[in-house]
Amino acid sequence: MGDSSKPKVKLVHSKLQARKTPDPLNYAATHQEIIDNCRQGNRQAQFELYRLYSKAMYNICLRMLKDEMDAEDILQNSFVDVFSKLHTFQHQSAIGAWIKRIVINNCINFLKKRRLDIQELTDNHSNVTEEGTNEVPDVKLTVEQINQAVHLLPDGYRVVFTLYLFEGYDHREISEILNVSEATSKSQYSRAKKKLKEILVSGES
Amino acid sequence: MDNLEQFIRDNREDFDTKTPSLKLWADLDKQLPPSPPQIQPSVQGPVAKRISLRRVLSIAAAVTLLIGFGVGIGFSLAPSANQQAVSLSDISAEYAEVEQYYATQVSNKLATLSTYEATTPEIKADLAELDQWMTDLQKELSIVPKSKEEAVINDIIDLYKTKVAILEKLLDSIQSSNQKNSNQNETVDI
Repeated sequence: MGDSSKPKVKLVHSKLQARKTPDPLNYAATHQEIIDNCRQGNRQAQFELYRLYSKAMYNICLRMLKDEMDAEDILQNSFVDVFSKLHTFQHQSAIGAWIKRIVINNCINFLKKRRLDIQELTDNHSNVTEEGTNEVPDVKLTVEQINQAVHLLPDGYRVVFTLYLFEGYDHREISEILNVSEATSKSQYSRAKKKLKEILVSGES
Repeated sequence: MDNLEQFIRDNREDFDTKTPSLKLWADLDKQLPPSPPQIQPSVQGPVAKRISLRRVLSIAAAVTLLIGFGVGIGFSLAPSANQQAVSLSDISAEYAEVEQYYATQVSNKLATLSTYEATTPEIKADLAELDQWMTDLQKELSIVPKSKEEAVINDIIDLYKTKVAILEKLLDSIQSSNQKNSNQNETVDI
């Protein structure tokens, strides 16, 4: 019995630690022990992984899909994918980044079924505003206002905008995720930002 | 970078304002394949059965220790006020739904378990101990400050899940050893 007390103590520590630092955005965390147990189908560990990342992933889904029911559906499907594909996770990235990519791919596929077309918006708008030329003048920015304004963006704009600014992907990565050119990602982003500022300014007046 | 980009990057975490409903895990739980029984293959049915039961009991002991630790901390921090057990359904309708779900799972599994004779006094004692921890956690929930409430609720949900998992393992081990006994006369190609 004496030698079996060690892993128990470790378990307690990792549990307390998880509780003390409930930082779902800490995508760099490895959570090795939880992952190992998840791979063996341990439901407790699966719940732990879900608890660590579900909130951040849910908010990604909400920004991408806008609708709460859709966001919950995609979140649920994504975690089913996460647990069924976890054996393929090779630690090439942090677990949070790996989960995030699954969630985002599922969101994109969902939007594509609803005829999301990134290219389409490019054709309708010929003049691109240079980045940074139009500051939001004298508008006190709030999280709530921006969240609402992001929801008002057309799908194609909103997706590129959230991937770049909220999820921190660069234009090369976005071009791979959306299967468009890097130039398209860049131009969509600056159009989205311009549109968002317009919405913010008009909402303020 | 302009002021909009700067603002979003600086306040990134504040933008994640929503939380998925608790029912989502319950739904997900139903979709995931059940935890594997993890039984050592053995030609001797009764031995296999004994090993897996011992395994279950050791898990129960580990859980007891784990939760005991948590509750111990909880009590040492808590004022020794009047303690009234509070169930999750008293907190919110959503928690009530989660509690209902797990309580049903537990009672279904207990009902199945009672049809087997293999339930030893040790198992019964372990299950009773889990019940005791549940009561303790519910008491803790009644006195814990609002800010710590979620942690205790998580412990309660964990405990429900643990209980379901233990019962599942028990049932698996009993059912597979029964299976083995009935399959003993069949030949297997290797």
